[in-house]
Amino acid sequence: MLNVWFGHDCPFEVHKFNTDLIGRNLRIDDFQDPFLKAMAEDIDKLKISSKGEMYHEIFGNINPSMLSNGLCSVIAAYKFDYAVDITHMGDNCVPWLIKVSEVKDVTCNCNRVPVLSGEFKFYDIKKDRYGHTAIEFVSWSMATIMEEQEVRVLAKRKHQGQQNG
Amino acid sequence: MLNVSIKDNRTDKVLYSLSLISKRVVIEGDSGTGKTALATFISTIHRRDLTVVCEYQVRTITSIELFRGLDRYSKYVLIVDEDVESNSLQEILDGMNSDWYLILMCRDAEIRSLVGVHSKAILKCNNDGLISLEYSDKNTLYSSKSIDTISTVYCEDSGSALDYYQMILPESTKFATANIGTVGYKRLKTIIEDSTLQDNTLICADGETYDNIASDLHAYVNSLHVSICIFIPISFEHLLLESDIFDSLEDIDRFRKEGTAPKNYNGSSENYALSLMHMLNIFPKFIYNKEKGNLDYRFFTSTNLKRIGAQLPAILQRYTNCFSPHTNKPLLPSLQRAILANVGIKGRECNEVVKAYVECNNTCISPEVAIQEILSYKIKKISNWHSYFYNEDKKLVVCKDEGAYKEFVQDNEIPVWYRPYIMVEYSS
Repeated sequence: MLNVWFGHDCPFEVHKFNTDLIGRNLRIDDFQDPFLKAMAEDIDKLKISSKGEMYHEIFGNINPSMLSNGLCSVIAAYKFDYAVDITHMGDNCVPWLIKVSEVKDVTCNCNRVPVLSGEFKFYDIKKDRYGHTAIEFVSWSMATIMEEQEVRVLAKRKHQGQQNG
Repeated sequence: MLNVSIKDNRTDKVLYSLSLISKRVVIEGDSGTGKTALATFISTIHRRDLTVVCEYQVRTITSIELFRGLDRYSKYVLIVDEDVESNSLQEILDGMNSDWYLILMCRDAEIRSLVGVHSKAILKCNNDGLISLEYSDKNTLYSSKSIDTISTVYCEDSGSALDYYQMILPESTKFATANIGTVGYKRLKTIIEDSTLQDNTLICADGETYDNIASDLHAYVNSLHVSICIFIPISFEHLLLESDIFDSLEDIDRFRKEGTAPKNYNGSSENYALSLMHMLNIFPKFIYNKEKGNLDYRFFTSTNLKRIGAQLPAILQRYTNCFSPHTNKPLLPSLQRAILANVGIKGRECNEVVKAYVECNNTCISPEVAIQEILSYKIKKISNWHSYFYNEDKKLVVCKDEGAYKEFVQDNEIPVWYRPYIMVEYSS
């Protein structure tokens, strides 16, 4: 199940960018896991040998500390059970996070609207409700973003009003 | 524009070639496209066999202490990855010299809102493995969509945007004002959700209010598969900065700090693209509905108007330069007048120019192209104008200089009373 907190007021700590941390904790043979291997090949366009060596078309041979932030976030949820932040994943990562949520509980924060389609089950922690489609997911996400934006704009206007006397 | 390239010395291959078209560039896009790698390469350049080629120093800001330690007298391109906290980013923005560049990797609207006027881009890899910046027009959510088939238009209020679209779209179009300004978020969301594939809807909303969530709106509209264009006018400030009308960095600083634009403009990030078009339309007398008597007339000289107008999105320039595709009425004729007045033609002749086809070196170009060529400085100056009569084919003749004109007149035995021509100087 994908448990989502929509909004910046997220009460739990989310794993963000500790690429080095994830990288250091990954062993080459971790990438023998077909799911992890397929994920790395799809998101970061890596070629992973049977020994687990990673090759990128542009950057050549790379080590796990050079994986992208988005991939590391999904790995953090999949392998280390961290709560993660969808805001810092590309659209190419979110479907993988949803796949992870089909086999285990994933907790995440979302402050952007990913481009999604299809059906998947998720739980809106803040409003205690379940969603079943991508459209519900993007709609609830958009609603939160708009509410927060409204607060920001009104605060900015108020500040400007004070400055202008 | 500033170029930054990164070369791998081991393979002698250029990995990145980035053209920075604006002082603040926000890079978005999928994971694994090279954003973090770029930041990492720069921050660990001393450990890697890489060369950075740029006339500025390039630094990845991994901590606020690193930023505080920068030499204020040097020029920098600062790279900030998405792990930045909003407080740190605010300090960086406040502390940056005005001639420094900032590349921010970020998908979060809250962080993006701090950056304000900026260009958005993604990293693209070409077939040769070279990564470069591809700038997006998502500000307007408008880049790939035509408004020719729009059936419903929602505007924020009954201001200039409504006037504009009523002018260019057919009478059968439905128009509505929708209260989608500052407090209209729910309204905007409802309009989007209520739209269907059969109803091609255009929404024109306040750019200040929606600019930094434009990417999210784009994703939302894409996910719903509805047929919607949302037009968020880009900021007037952006147009001014991009138009290169400021002579010096001091001028830019003054503009940003003191607000040499219409009074109370500074800091509001109010968006005036449509107001600008309105302004051009009634040129030379500009009644700016939000000004309070403190106009900086520097912005409204004909040369500067042309430069500012040239920074409008291509889609808008298209409609400022030609006829409505539906009514066949000329659009914003005074804009054409404004442009052409600047190159030496006055009065009604200017309208005639855009109604006629212009013949140049045996090549016919359309009025739109003629205006675009003027806007893009390919035609530097129209130096003379003697008549607005046409020949039988309704074509005007463009000669590159007086000699060419005389030759043309002689060769074609054109009588004195019937000598349509424009002399132009093409920029080299």
